[in-house]
Amino acid sequence: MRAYESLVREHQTIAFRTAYLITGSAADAEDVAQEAFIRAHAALGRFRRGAPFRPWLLAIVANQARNRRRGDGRRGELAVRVAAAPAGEQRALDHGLIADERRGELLAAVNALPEHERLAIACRYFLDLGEDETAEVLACARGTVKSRTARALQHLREGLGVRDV
Amino acid sequence: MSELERELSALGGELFPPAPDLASAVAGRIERAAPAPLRARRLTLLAATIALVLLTTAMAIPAVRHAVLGLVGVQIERVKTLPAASSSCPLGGGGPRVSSVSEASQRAGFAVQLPRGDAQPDAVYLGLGTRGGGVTLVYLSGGALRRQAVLSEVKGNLDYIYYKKVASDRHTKVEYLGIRGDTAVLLSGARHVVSYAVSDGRVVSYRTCLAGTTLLWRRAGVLYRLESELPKAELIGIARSVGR
Repeated sequence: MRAYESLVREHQTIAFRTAYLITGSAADAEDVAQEAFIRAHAALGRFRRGAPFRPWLLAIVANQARNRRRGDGRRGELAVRVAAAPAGEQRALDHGLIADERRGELLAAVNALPEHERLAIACRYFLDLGEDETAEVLACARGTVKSRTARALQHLREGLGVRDV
Repeated sequence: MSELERELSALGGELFPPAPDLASAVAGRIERAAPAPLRARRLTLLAATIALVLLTTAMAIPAVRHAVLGLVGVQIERVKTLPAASSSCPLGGGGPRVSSVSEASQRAGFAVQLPRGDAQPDAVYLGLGTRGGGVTLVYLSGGALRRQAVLSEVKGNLDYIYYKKVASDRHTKVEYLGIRGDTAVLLSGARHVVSYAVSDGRVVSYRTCLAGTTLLWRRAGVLYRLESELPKAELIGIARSVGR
């Protein structure tokens, strides 16, 4: 059990964030992530030896989170929301964070994307998942992830008036 | 990576609430929910069905309903073997989520009380099972109560009952306490099984879940159930503070 606890600690942040992305609620995300780890433990016998654990776990998390979302009757919108910066907080570009105004524009543009594109962007950039892991979370083919991400980036560039170099 | 992609990556670091520490909660739930062999599970399912029928019958008899440790709405039974717990026991009890405590009060038909003056929960759910009639407040680790805690409140009627089973071969401690003159019971140590049953002559919800340390008390016509791994003294302190 100690080994599994270590595994949980190693992956709990990405599991929680993935669940939060889909459910939009910290309480639901905590609950979903817990359930997912328990289900993963119960299914360890079916886990392919030598395969990476994280994509397999994230597929379980995403599935649980989608079920929770469906159960709550919530559909349509991706959970990622622009959290308003605390009053008076100034985020500086030289600290590696994007300025508040630009941040707001960018998030508004992401939220305006069709859901499947928003999820692709969220997985690839907000969660920093690879294409294979994103495919597991979104339950689609890797090629679909590539095309959705490319389309989403194009839509964002158009929406933001960005000329990429 | 383009400038836009770099900006998106930077943004990702700011969007998420802090992740809770799940390891001990997961380990605890797994240890108590180790699957029994198939045959045993079938027998357990059968036993659970029988228990459900017995529970329905018992709840139909007022004398039995009232003879529950002086705590109306609660029944504790020591059993040889714990029944299998459901694989789906959400913290919020499985009922619909509502946006605020005031909405929950309005929909549940009574004033939901918060602990410690005004400790705001991280999530609020209606019902104990799949139906309304009670309210469940979920506090996350790092929230207003510092540790994960679930506080359920059920207004006065006898339609609800917490049917708790304690394995005789495990070290679940059952203590009877007085809190501000009200009868209370604390279950601690090894996990126990709790079923949520709702009856108005028929059982409409029945779910069997594993539960950790739980304090139950009744005050001003409301049955409270607080589950948390907070120390006993803090649980009692929270119970004292509710409704003040």
